[in-house]
Amino acid sequence: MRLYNQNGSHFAAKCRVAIYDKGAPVEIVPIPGGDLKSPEYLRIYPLGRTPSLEVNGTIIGESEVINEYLEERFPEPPLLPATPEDRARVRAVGRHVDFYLERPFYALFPQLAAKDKDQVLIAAQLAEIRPRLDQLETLLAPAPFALGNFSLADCSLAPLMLYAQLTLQLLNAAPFSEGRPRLATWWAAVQQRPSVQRVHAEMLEAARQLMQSMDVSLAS
Amino acid sequence: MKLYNTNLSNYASKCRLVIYEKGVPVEIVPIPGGDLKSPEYLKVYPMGKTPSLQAEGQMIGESEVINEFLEEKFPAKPLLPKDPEGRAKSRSISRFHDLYLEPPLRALFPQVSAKEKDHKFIAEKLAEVTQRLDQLEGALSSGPYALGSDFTLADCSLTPTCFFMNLMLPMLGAAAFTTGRPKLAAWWAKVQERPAVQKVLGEQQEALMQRMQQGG
Repeated sequence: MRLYNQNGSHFAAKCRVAIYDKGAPVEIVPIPGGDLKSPEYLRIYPLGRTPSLEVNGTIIGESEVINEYLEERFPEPPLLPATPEDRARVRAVGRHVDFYLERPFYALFPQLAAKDKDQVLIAAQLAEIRPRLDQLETLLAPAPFALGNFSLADCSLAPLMLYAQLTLQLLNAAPFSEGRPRLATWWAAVQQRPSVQRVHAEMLEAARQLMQSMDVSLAS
Repeated sequence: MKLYNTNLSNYASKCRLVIYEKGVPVEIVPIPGGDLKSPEYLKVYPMGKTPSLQAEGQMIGESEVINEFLEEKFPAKPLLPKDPEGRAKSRSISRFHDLYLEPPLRALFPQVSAKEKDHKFIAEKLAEVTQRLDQLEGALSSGPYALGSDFTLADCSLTPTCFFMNLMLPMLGAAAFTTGRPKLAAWWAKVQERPAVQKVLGEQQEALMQRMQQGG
């Protein structure tokens, strides 16, 4: 079993957190042809996205689908709770990340390196991010992780929030944890998790390389 | 257990289809206050979206999360395969629907009734829909259902949106969504034989007629 991976992709990072946390025997490999749209990779996964998981010659795409699959194939240690109600709470966080919270951050990423920043776009995306963070705050019940025990919700959230923290800092916006005590508690706890520390380090290294190549200095 | 529902919403229809297929005891109720952004509904579900499911002491939003919950809570008449690979396949199709197939179609909704149509926009979105339909054709099994012999959550995800595909593409000057896609054509004929599908498509049809009469 192998994961086609880019360390800078926070979607791929969601799967690496799950893999590292479970200690699952998944080989993590770079994108064939070096590019998501290379003929080599498109032959393997026609949607040309990362991550994708190759299992006995078939391909599973989409980070959330991959993480559900890893959970079923490698049930120990579990990353989903036992009851349907609690499992729904975990999945709601993953869904919120992918469908609502990630998009305005994604729209901001090009602005970080832009010489002439589009202040109107930045203000509009930041205005969209605030209610999404408030909604996220209501979905969390940190004790200490997003929903108690470390779960797929933490795997979904931890990678994006690393970028979120950097992005807000670089744009001189308030930190996401400000005025959101549950998020603040969660962020402190999740950064202690070895699987998250490893993935965050990989993401930072990839971000540093990318920004160096674009001649942008990272404040940290 | 209560589903806050609008019959026209393809996302709410995904959940009604599961509820009807499984024959589970979920009460299907209209949106309090009559509007997704009404104070009454926002109090119940601050995201102000449909569908949402009121379970014991807990609001569950998002059609996919609700359908996974219904599958786990009411495992009889399963709508996910037993093996992890098959379950991943079903989830992939649902996810493909939610993220890639449905958004360009949704973007076209206002153009159907627009007096002055934006032809460049329509052409762009139709090209995107066409590409996604081709990818879907590649992902479907040889039938009768999306994954093969069993009706699954993947079929529940696709069917309500194909109601809109079927109506809208010809109205926008495009070919039928089944044209040149034999697997999709066979699938569309097959799913419509199921009573639960007939019920949902009938509800969507009636809701659309009402909306059009109101001039929406």
